[in-house]
Amino acid sequence: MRFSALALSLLSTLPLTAETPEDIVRFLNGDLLHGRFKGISANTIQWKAPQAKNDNQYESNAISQIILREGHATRPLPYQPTAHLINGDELPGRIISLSGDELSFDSPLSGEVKIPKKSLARLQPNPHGGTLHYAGPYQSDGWLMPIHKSIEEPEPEQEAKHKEETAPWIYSGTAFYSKDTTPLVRNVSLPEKGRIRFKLGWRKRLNFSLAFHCDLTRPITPLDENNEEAEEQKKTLKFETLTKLSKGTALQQIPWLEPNNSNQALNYGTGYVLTLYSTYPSLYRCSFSDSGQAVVTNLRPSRSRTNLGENGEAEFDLRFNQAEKSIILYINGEYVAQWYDSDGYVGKGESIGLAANSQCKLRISDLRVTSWNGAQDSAVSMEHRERDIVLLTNGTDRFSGTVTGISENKLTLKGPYAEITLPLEDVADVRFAKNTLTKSEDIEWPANTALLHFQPLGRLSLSPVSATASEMEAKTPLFPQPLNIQLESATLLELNKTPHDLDEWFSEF
Amino acid sequence: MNGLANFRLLMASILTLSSSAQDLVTLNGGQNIRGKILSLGKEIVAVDSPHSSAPLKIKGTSVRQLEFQGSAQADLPRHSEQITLINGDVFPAEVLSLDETHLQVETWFAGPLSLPRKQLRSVHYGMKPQTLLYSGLQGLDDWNHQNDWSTSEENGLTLYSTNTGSINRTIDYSESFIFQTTIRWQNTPNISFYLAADSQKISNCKNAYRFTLGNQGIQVDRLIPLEQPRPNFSSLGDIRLKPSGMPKKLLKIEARVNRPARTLQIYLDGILQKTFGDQAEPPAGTHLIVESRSSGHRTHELVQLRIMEWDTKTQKLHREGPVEDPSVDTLSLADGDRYSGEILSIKAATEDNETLTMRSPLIKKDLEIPTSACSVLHFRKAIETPAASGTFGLALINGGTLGLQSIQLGSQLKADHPLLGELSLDRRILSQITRHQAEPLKETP
Repeated sequence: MRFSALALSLLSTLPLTAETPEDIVRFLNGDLLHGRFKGISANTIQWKAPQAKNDNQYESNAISQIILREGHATRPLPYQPTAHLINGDELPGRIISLSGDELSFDSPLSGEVKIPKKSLARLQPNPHGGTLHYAGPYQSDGWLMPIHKSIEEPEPEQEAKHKEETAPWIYSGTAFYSKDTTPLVRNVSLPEKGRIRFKLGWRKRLNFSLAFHCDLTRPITPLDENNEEAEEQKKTLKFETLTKLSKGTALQQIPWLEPNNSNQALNYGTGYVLTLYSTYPSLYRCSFSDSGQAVVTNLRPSRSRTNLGENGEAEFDLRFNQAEKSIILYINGEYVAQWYDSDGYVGKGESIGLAANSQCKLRISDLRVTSWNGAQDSAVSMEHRERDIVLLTNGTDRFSGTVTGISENKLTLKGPYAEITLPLEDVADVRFAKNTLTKSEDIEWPANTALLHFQPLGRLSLSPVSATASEMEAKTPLFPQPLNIQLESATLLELNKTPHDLDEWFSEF
Repeated sequence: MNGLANFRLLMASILTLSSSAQDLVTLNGGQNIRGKILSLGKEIVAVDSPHSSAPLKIKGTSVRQLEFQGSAQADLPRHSEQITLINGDVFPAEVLSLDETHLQVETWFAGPLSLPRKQLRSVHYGMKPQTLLYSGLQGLDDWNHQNDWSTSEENGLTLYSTNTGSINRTIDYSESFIFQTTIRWQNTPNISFYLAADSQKISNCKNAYRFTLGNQGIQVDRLIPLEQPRPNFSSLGDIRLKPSGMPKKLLKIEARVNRPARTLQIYLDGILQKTFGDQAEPPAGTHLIVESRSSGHRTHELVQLRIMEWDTKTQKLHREGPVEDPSVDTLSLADGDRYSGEILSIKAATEDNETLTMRSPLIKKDLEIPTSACSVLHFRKAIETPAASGTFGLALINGGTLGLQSIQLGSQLKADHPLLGELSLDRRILSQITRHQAEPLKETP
C-alpha cells in the first residue's frame, strides 16, 4: 500500500497547549460562543466559556454546529485508503480484509470496525491519484480577496468593523459564500497533472469563474508597443504578484483589481479561467505579450453542453494534464467538455481563484485538489447495477465483475473472461454494484443524527451517545456495532440545520 | 475569334452552368469546372464536359480539388471496423486476422490489405450505421390516421395533409433513438411530432417529447404527467428559423433523444442546432404521432421518416477517445472494461465467431474475448510517426481519409501510399481529392 506525502504546509498540526484555538458553538437562534467543548452527556453539550467559573450545559437540539479548535485538527489524518459509505460518509483507514458480507477496516478514527458490504459503496485503496494537495475549506487561512483599487482604505480604528461589513466572501462551517463578484484566491500547490473537485451551490442564473494554474502575477505597467523604445524597455518590464502583498491574515482584502477593467489576465495573471454558465462552459487562456499587454483567448472545446438550472447545486471535477495540454470537465459525474491548448499549456502557477459573476451568488464547499493518474472515466461510467468496477492506479486498466474478496493485500475479481488477482497497491478505486447495496432512502436515521467532519478528509453521520473532549461514543445505522471515535482529527460537529442557515442565504432570494 | 477568346468563352459557359449531378474540378484560382472526371495523370486532369466535343485537359498543377459525384452511399458496401494508421489516415475495413506482425483486412474498395502492426494506431469496432427501427411512408395502411392524410406518388411515396389531422403508430423505441424526417410545406408550416408518447391520441397524450415546426422555427416541448409537481407542459427551448423565407420549403429534421442523459438534440439538414436538457423523468411511451395543422392554404408533406436506435455508449467511447498508453497495447470493450498489455492475435474460431487473445501482466491466463465485445484496439507506439502523409488528400465517400502520392485515375484510382505502398482503389470510394503542399517523406525504420 502506498502513501503519499501530505502538503503539510496546508494543514495545521496543533500541539495541545494553552494556545490551542478555542472551540466555537453556534446556536440555532444565531448566538455564538467561544470556549472549550468538554463533552456530551444525555443529549446535553458540556461547555466551558473562558469567563465562566463552571462548565455550562446546553441542550444539543438548540445547537447548530460546534467548530473544534477553529477548524484545526490536533492531529490531521494521514493520507490513507478510504471507505465510502452509501450515504456519502467517508472513513479513512487501512483495509484488512473483505470476505463474505463485510469489510474489516482499521481506522484511526474508530479502531477496527466491520462494515457491512451492503453499506459500502466504494473503496479507494489508493485515493486521488496519489497526493492530496488541498482539502477544505476548514479555515479561511491562506485565502485572499483581491478588491478594486478604487475602494478607499478605512481608518485603522475602523478597519476590523469595515472588513466585517464589506467582506465580499463569508466563511461559515466548511464553505465559502459569495456576496459580490470579488474573487477569492489561494495557492493550493496545484500539480502539473491533477484534479480540482468541489461542490457548488448557486442562486440566480449560474455564472461562475474558476481560475487555475494562475500565477497571480502581472506587469506593473504594460508598454505601448508603438513606442520606439518598447523593444528596449521589455528588458526592464516589472511585475507585481498578489501573494507578495499579503500580510498573512485570513481573507485579507488586497487592492488589486483595476477599475473598470475586468480583464481576466490582469485579475489572475497567466493561467486559465473556466467560466460556467447554465448551458455551457467557456475556457479562457490568459497570458501577457512580451510588452506586457494582456492576451485573453477563448479555447474551443470538443463538446460543451450543460443543463444547469437557476438555483441549484452540482459537483464539479476538472482534470488537467500540462504535458498533454489538456483540460477535461465533468459535472455531476458526467463528462461535459474537453479542451486542448495547441499553443502550449500556459498556466504554470499553483493558485486557484473563485468568483461569482453578474448577479449570481455562490456557495463553495468540499474543495479537493489532488494529483491524477490520467484515468478519464467519469464517475457515472464507474457505476453499474450488476457489476463491481475496479480501476487501477495506472489509469488505464479497468475491470468489471464481482469482487470475491480482499486478503493479504490482494483483491480478487471474477470477471467475464478471467479471474483476476490484483495487488491492492495497484488498485485505485473499487465501486460496488448498485443492486448489492442498501438504498440510502431505506435507511432510518435517528432524530439526533449529527455529522462529524475530519481533517483533511472524512465524515461520519452518527448519533452521539456520550463524549469527552477527546472521544465520542456514537451509533449509526450503517454499522452493527457502536463506534468509539477519536476527536483529535475532528474539526466540525453539525448537530442541527438552522432555519436561518446560510444555506437559505441572502434573504432577497 | 482567336483561340484564347474561344477558351475564355468556353470557360465562361461552363462556369455558368447550373450544378447538377456532375463531378466538380476546383482550380487554384477558385474557378470551378463541372463534368465527368475521366482521368488524373501525372500532369493532366481530363474532364468530359457537355460543352466540349473533346475532353478538357487541365494542367494538374492548376487543380486544387476534385469532387466526385459518385454513387449514393446507401448503395455502397459498408464495413464496421475503422482502421487508423500512425500518420492519421483512416479507412473502413473488415478485420480478418491479426498476428505478431500484421493485421489482415478486407476492403470492398481496395481488396485485401496486409497492414504491418507498427504502422497501426488503432482499430475501432462497431462503426456501422445505427439499427433501423422503423422506416416509414409505405402508405397510410401502415398508420392509424384521423382526418385528411393522403398518399402521393408524385415524388416517390409520401404522405401529405391539407387539413388538420394526425397519423400515429406504435414504435418499439430503443433507450436512445434517432428520429429523422424530411418535410415539405406550402407557405408556412405548422406540424408537430410527438415522440415516445404514452397515447396514440393527442387528447389523451400526457407524457411525450414534442417538437413543432412553425412559422417562427422549431419549438421543443415536454409533456409531463400531471402528478409530477410541475405544469403538464414544459418548454425545453426553441430554434429560430424563418421557414416562409426558405426557397425550397423543404427541411430535414433529426431529433436525437438520449433518455438516460435526458437530452434531446435537434439537427437541421445534418447540422446540430441545439441540445435541450430535460429535468423530468423521460417519457417511456411507445407511440409516434404526427399532427398537421393545415388550413387549406398550407400543405404538409412527409417526404421521409425513419427511426433508428442510437447507440450512445459506443459512440461516446469513440467520440471521447479511450485511454491510450503509448507503451502498451490497450483493448477497450463495449461495456467499458479496458485491458492493457499485449494484443496477441485475432482469429476466426467459426465463421461468425472471431476471438481476440490478449496478454495482461496482471492476469495469469491469456484472455480470450469475442471481437463482438470489443470497441477499440490501440496499438503501442512502435516507431516515430512519419511527418508526411502524401501530396494528395483523398476523402472517402463513407468516411475516412488517405494521403496519397502519384495518383492516376482511370477506371480505378492507382496511387502510392507512404505506408501501404501501391494501392488500386474502386472509383466509387472517391469523394474528394485535394492537393496538399508536397512534403518529403521521412524514411521509416
